[in-house]
Amino acid sequence: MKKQIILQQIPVKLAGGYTHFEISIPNSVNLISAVTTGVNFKTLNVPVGFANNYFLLQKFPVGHIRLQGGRPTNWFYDGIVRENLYPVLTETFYTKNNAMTLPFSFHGRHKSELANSIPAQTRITGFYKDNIGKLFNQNIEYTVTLTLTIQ
Amino acid sequence: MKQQIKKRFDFSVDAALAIVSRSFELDKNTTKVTGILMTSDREDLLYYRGTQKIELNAEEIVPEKYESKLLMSGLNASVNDRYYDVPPINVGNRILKIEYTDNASALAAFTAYRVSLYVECEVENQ
Repeated sequence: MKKQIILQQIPVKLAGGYTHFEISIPNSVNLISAVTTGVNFKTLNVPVGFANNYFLLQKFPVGHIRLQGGRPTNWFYDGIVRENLYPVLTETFYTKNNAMTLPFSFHGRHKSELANSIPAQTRITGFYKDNIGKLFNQNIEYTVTLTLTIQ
Repeated sequence: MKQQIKKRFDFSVDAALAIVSRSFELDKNTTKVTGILMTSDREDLLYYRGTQKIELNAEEIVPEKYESKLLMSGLNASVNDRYYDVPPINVGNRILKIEYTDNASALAAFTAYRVSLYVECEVENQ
């Protein structure tokens, strides 16, 4: 069985906004095995109240994502998109008080979340809901990259 | 006898928002590619700005716009657990092609940096 990765980019602009999307998959797919997400910020101003909270900014919940299309009327994936907002220091292996300065998601090998869903059609629909813009009270422009591992 | 070896391929990104395309040739006796790993001399830039497409024998391992952070491992990962597992792909002409894109990011400002691609492969020894 051949594994393949398909990718969808979801642009987000409005605070608290919902973004609906649709992904086409080949009709030969018999299993969606894993889901991975990543975030790339284009504009971001971390508010002063958050700026020094190092632990909070690591793995910050950026938004929620839900995917449908495994079987009719079923949501097969519901997840929180997390990303590190703490700027990485240039001294890569610098450690202080036993706290590493690189993002947590970097420290472990990045593993995708298992989905194990059998698709019933060639379309995966879903939506993304912004959380960070609402929390920081500003319109942040960013892109969420959603990758599906299919077999 | 089969033996597992690791190869390193380097290229540099000299301009912001540049697309760097490179083809690397694996050894003639390579029979299988089992893992890949990406790292850099400026890991923060690779982490926040990098996306790439990687192909082996014109067959896609990761698609375009796949983020580099998903192929990186840190110190806290066990040394034996650091490579991204590549699904079985016919090695064919043994040409590994990477198309790396540098993207704008609010979290890391651009300076020139080096990107290293590590490949774990199985070779047949006579």
